[in-house]
Formats: sequence, C-alpha cells, structure tokens
Amino acid sequence: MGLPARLLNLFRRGRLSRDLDEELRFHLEERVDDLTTAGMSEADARREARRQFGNLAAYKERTRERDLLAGVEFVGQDLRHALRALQHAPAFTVTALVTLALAIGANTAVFSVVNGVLLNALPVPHPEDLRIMRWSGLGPRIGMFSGTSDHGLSGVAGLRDGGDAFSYPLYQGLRRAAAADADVFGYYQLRGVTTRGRHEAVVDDGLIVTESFFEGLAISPLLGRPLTASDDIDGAPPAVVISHALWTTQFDQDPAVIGQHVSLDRRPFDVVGVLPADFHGPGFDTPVAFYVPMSARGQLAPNWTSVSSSDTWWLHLMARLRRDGNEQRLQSAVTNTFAALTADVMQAPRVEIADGRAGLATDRQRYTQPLAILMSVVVIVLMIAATNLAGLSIARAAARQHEWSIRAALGGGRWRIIRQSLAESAILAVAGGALGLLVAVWSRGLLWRLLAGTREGLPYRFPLDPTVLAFTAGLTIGTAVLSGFVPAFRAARMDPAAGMRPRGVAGMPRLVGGRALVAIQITLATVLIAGAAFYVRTLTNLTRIDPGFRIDHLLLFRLDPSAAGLSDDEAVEFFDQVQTAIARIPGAQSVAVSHYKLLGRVMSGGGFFTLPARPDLSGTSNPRAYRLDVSETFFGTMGIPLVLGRGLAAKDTAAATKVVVVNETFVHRYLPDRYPIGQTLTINDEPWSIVGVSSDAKYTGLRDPIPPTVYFSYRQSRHGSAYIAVRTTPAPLTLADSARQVVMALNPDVPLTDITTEANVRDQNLGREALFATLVGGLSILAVLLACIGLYGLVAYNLTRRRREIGVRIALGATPGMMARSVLSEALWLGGLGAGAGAFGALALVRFIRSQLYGVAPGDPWTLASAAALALAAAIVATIVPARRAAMVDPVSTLRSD
Amino acid sequence: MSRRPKTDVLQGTLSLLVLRALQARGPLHGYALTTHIHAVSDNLLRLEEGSLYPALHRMEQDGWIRARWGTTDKGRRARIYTLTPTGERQLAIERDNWVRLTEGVARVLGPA
Repeated sequence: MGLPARLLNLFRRGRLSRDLDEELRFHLEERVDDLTTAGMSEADARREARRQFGNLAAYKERTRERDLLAGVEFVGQDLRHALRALQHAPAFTVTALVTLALAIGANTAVFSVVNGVLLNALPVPHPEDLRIMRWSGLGPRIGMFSGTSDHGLSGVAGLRDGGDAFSYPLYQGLRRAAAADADVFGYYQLRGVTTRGRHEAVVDDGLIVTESFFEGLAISPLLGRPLTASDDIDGAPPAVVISHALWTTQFDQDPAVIGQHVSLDRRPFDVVGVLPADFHGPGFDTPVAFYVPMSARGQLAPNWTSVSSSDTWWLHLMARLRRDGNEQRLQSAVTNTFAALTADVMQAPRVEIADGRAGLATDRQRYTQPLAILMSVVVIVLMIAATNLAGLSIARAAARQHEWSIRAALGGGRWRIIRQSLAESAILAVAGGALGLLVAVWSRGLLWRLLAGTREGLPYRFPLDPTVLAFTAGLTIGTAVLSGFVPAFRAARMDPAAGMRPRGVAGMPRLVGGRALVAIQITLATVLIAGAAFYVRTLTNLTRIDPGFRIDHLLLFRLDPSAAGLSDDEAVEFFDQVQTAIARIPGAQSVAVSHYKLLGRVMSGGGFFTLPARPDLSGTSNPRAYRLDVSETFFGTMGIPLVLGRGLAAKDTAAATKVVVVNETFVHRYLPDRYPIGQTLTINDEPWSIVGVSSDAKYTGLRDPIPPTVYFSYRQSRHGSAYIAVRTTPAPLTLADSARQVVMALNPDVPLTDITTEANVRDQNLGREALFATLVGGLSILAVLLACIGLYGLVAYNLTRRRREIGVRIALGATPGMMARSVLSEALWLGGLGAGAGAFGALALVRFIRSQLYGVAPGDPWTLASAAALALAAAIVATIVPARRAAMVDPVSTLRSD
Repeated sequence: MSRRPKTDVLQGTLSLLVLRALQARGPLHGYALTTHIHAVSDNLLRLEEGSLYPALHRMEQDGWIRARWGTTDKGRRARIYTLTPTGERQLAIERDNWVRLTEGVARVLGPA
C-alpha cells in the first residue's frame, strides 16, 4: 500500500468499513455454500460457518484498527526511527543543524526586513486602491527639484531622467484631470522642525499635506478629526494633526490634547487630531511626527517663496483609485495633462502610476537594491547549505548501506528506506527551521541597524508575521525535500546483494552525485567570494578617494536661528557671534559656517543662473551647478585651497557687490578659455561676480563626481539654518559640550542639533559599502566553510572506501606521497572546476551590483581570478587532512582487517 | 471427525503459511487461502478463520501481498490477494527461519 493510500485511509473510514464487511461476508457465504453442498441444512451451515470463523466482531475490529492505524503508524514509526538514527550520528546531526539554522536564519532575517520595508501595506482600509506616481522624460530642465531622481536631473538632452516630486501647478492639474477616477493628494516632508508640546522641545520631521491627504489615505484619527479642505484656506486657524508618538512624548497620551497648542519652530498650532499608533506616515521613511495643511507653508517653510512656481518640483503625489474608477482612463488623463503642462520642460514625458499599497517613500528605493542583493546572497548560502546537507546525507547513507542492505534483504521495503531518509531530513529541516527562526529574531534587528546606518529610532519593527513564517516554512520544506530526496532515491536504487558483501571497494559505491554536489558548492561559494571581493575593492577605493578637503578633526553641528524667531539679518549677526565665541574655545583652530555639511548627501542647486560670457549655453544646455552658502572662513577651515583670486570676505555684505567663488570644475566646464576672475553669473537678472576659484572638493557624497560648484557668502544669501564647522586640535567631539554652552549663552532658544564629526559623516557615506563588504564577506566565509565541510566529507568518505585499495597499492610499492597526491588531485579537479564555473557565474551576476561598485570594473579579471584562487585554496586546505591520512595508511593493518 | 490433536497455528507462522500458499497457488481470496491451508496441512493445522484477516491486512500494509477486488466463478465479489516480490523475499527469510527453528528443536529433542 503506497503512502498516499495509507494516509487516505485516515479519511475514509466508512469506505474501509464497508469493504471489510463485504470481504468477511464473502468468506462466510462461501463456507455456508460448501457446508450446504456437503448436506448441512442452511441454518446449521450458517451457525457452523460462524463457529469456524471465530469471534466475527472482534476480528472485524482488529482488522479495521489495522487499516486505520497504518496511516498514523507510518509517520510515527518513521519519525521514531529517524530520531534514533540521528541521535546515533551526533556529528552529522550537529553539523546539519548548525548549517540549516544559519542558512534559514539568514534568509528569514533578510526576508523579514524585505517584507517590512518593501511588501507591507500601509495600515489603512483598502490599501490596494492606493497608487503612487513617478514621472520621466527626455532631458528634463527643472529649476528646483526636491525629491529622488534617476540621474540627478542634469538636464542632458536626450537622456531619459525622472523623479518622484511634482510642482504645485502640476499637482493641481493632475488632481483635476484625475478627479473622475481617483483622488490625487500630495505631501512634502519638512525635516528638522523644532517641536514642542508640554515638555522639552525636540527636533522632528513633519509633512505639509494637501487638502485631501487624510481622505485619500482613508486614515482616521484616534482622537479628534483629520485635516480637511477648510484648514487649507489661507487665514484659517493653524491646525496640526499629531502622531501617536508625539502625543505620547509631548502630551503623555492626554485625551484632552485636542485644542491644545503644539509649537512648531516656535509657531503655535492647534492640535485637531491624533493618529493611531501603527501609522508612521504615508510611506516607509523617517517617522512623521505631525501633519500641517498647505496653508502653513508660509510659517514652516519661509524660504519656499516659490511654492506655487511651476519651476519648483517638491510635492510627492499619491492617489486613491475610486471604487468605480477606471485605471486606464486615469492613466491617459494623467499622462495627457502632465504632457501638456511640461511641454516646454522636457520631451517624451511619461507618468508611471504604480501600486501604492506600501506607500511612497524615497527611503524604500534606497533599500530596494541592497535588500535584493542581500536576499540573493542568503539564498545562495541556503542553496549551499541544502547541497551540503544532501552531500552529508549521501555519504551517511552510503556508510549505512550495509545496514540498509540487510534491512532490504529482510524485506524492509525500499519505500520504507526512502521514507526514513526523508523523515530524517524532515526532522533536521524542521529543527533547523526552528533554530533558524531564533537566529533570525536575534539578527534582524542588527541587520536593520546596519542597513539604516546611524538613523536610530526608526519605528519599524519587523514582526515575524504570517508572511515571514510562511516563507520560513516554505524554505524549511524546500530544504527538506531538496536535501532528502537525492539520498533517499540513491538508497532506494541500491542493490542489497552488493551491500551485503564484506565492506571494501565493492561495498561502498563511488559518489558520483556527491562530487557534483561538492563542485556546485564550490561554484556558489566562489560567486559569493567574488561578490565580497568586489565590495571590498569598492570600499578600499572609496576610502582612498581624496575628498578635496581635510576630513579629520572637524566638529559639525546644525544651528537654526529662524526656529528661534531670528530674522535673516539677526541670523547673520548671530552666526558671527557664534563663530567668534567658538573660536575662543581652547582647542578650536578655526570656525566656519556652511549651509550644508559636506558629504551630507544634501545639496541645492540646478540651473539657477546664466553666464553672459557663454550665450551659447542656453535652452537645453543651460549651465547648472550646485551651490553652497558659506562664511569667509570656510575655505581655510575645511582646507580647500584657493587657486585663483580671493576667497569670500567679511566685507562681502548684503549691501556690497554680489560675489561668488567657483570651483575648478566649474571653470573647466563653463569658462575653459577665459580668465574666470571678473566673469559674472546672472541670477534673477542680477550680476554676481566671480572673485576667486577654489580647488575641487566633494560636495554631496564621496562617490558622487565633483559638480560645478558656486560658493556664496552667507552674508549675501538668506538661509534659516546652517552648519557650524570647527577645526579642532584635540578629538573633535571633546569640544561639543563647550560649543553647546557657547550657543546656549548666546541664545538659548536656537536649537542645536545633529552634532557629529566630518569623519563620522564620511563613514556614513561608506556605511552601505562597508556593510555590504562585511555582510557579503561574512556570508561568503560561511559559504566557503560549508563547501569545505562538504568537500572534506566527500574526500574522507572516498578515502574510507579506497582504504583497502590504497593499502594494496602501498604494499605493491606505491609511495605514501603518490597516494596523498591521488587524493589531492581529486580535490584540485573538483575545486578547479567549481572555482572556474564560479568565476564565470560571478562575471554574469556582477552586473546586477554594477551601480554599487566604485573604481573596479564589473568584469575585473584580477578580482574574479583571486576569488577563484581563494576558493581553490580553501578546497585544497579541506583536503590536506584526509590526504595526509591516505599517505599514512598502514598496508598491513588494512589488509589484515578484511 | 479426526481424533488427532490439532495444533494452533504458531504466532508468526501464519504469514509464512499465507505467503507459501500464494506462492504455490497464485492469487487467492481469503476463503480459498483458509481451505488451501487446511487441505495441504491435511487438516492438521487448525486456524480460526477470522484470525486470517487482520494478518492479511497487516501483510498488505507491509507490502508483502497486494489486494484487489475481483469476481469469483460463482459471480461473487471477492478480495483477491497476490504475492509481491517483497513478499517472495520475506517468504524466503521466514522459510529459512522456520527450517532452522525446526532443525534446532529436532536436535534438542534427539532421536525418539
């Protein structure tokens, strides 16, 4: 009776019972027939038939029990046997469990983050109706863009570029065009707003939202009401909806919070609603503490004077498809409107309306590729683990062939042997899966902290929700099947007679499958080593990059005088006072003001100027540059040498001639044949004179190419907040407290935030590369280790198998060295094959991480060759011990043992 | 009726008898197995007929025999058992064991 039939028995008692009744009735009928034929009366014959049969009810019951128990016993017995067998092979069991726990744990951990970051839907009703919008076009030219773009919106004609932020007029146009099918809403992220309720002020991020934001998301407040169109009228009382977290930290979850004030950058807002705890914002990003209507933009984003300009793209757009809405009609309405409104800015405009159930967030895109890569890496590790387990099981099965042959000869069905082998791998996989869950619970927090860099306090937890558990269960079953079937069927194919012969050459078969498995493992391990090598080289290259300024001994912190209500002129004065006061702190060499921190990934700029000297640069090829507003001490403090002219000076005040310093790249790109000093930039019809040229320095990040950069004096441009950079003699952070005291003494209301060092900022730049080098490196070490265990197992097994042969050969005059070489040659052959295949595999796969590499070509032969060499070396090391044993085989003892 | 004492079939010997019967006679239903064993043992072996069925079903689960429904000459539906290759091997083993057991016992008893 096959396995399915047995298990089915459990579910068809009725049918079984009827069959059994019929079978027994037939028996009695036949007996009655025979007895009546012999001359007995019908009644006597019946009585006699029953008598001869014995206790009919009892036998029927025993038979039926037999049938029903079969299904249960089948599983129970096999599991019991398998458990006993595993207990008797502790080395195998422990190796298998550790292997599985690590592989399944790594997979579960990465998947739980993937699930949390990329797959989880927003906690709102019908998230499947949400859509997000991205646009793209050929050579887009946009004045100010605040969002994530594909290629930096460099305005290169013919290059398809795109992004996730729209202008306010576009939002209005798209909202109107889509009205029949969807409710379009948008938001803009306000970063670093000083927020204060009842307790000490904190710096939080918030959103400026369009009128139907809450209606569109369908998120209902826990308390109070959402923001509506009536809050968005200019002059309406300033209203704010706060997050559960802010309600907790600033109002101690007081239900009477509605109607109270929360101060945002020192401006009072009325709390009208509190959101539920599980809602962190319309996407996966830094948590949103508060939501204010568009009418609040004047108070919270005073610099955004051109909010309604069509040249400033800043709003992230989402839409909720109406239940009766037509997606195709929506798509064409949106595309047509977008095309009409952007005709003079780009060619071939396109709007992509994508699934928005997980919300829209720039951060998600940052994590998508890293997570995809990590997921592939851990899947490879799992494949190695499964192959390894299969290999170990095959070797074990071969070693147990004697036992199994006897069992087969004694009538133990092949099925039985297959089942036990499967039961063993099932037990291993389930136990490994359970241990893997533990590993995952422990490691996913760590993984997330690593991935998120230093951004502490992200509220995202990655619960082991049903999706993750189903994933792990799937992996576990897959591993059990993968690693259990091969050995099981090998076991089933064996010839009992062969296994019964004395153990020797014939008793232990060659492991053809085992060799293939080992070669596959080495291949996979080589792929991972190569991946790690590419990351390590990228990391080394990045650390060797000359940023163009001195990174060491630089203290940085951010001051926001506008949050304390200082006007622009007062802010300039305040920054002057801060610089003077900090310069007096012992250990401070020089102090500078800079609108952004260098390498901080944030920048401003674009095509904000024209060059009268280059009338040819207009239209699609208009000049573009990054800008940075700095103090006159900036170049000296950062260690950026001036190569021509003068730097900015204290005399370059708002009233004086407008001046700028440009970098060398700017000159090479836009003024290659001219003497740059004295040239002018026209900004808003006003001339700005180039007074100096600085040498090149990195701006947004270490990996980014140095952009044409224009340095403005902070005295001549207006910014609410800025970073103070202090060049220190001792370790920079030792001055942090004195700097804070100095600022407090000058104006206690000005928030001081983001205290860090430039070295720290640089490390954050390298964070992802360092993380990948570490993670992929660590996983590839694990992979190599697993592959070595597999290889060692195979070689050791083969050695046992050939022990007699080796003994004979040595007895016949072969030297021990020859024997060791013959064992090693197998490892070399397998290792070489695997490493070679792995190098080619890596060559094919490395293009997927191309965008993450720096200074190393994806096909770099040296990197690939060294990865292959490393894998081969590991293979040889794993073989040396068994090879030495081969050399030390004592011919006398081997021959005597048979 | 015979006066000779009848022997209860030894526990475990039943399967040997069934396997042997199926080997000798080919596919048989339960009733035919009973009568066959009676006939060849010259009525020496008494077998409570009902005890055959739990044994048959167990042997079926162990894969020694296979069962299917068929129709007899008299047109009755009967469950017919066939020996499987595994069953053949099992028979060989049990037969060996039996021979060794009886030889051993015979030697212990010595010549009468």
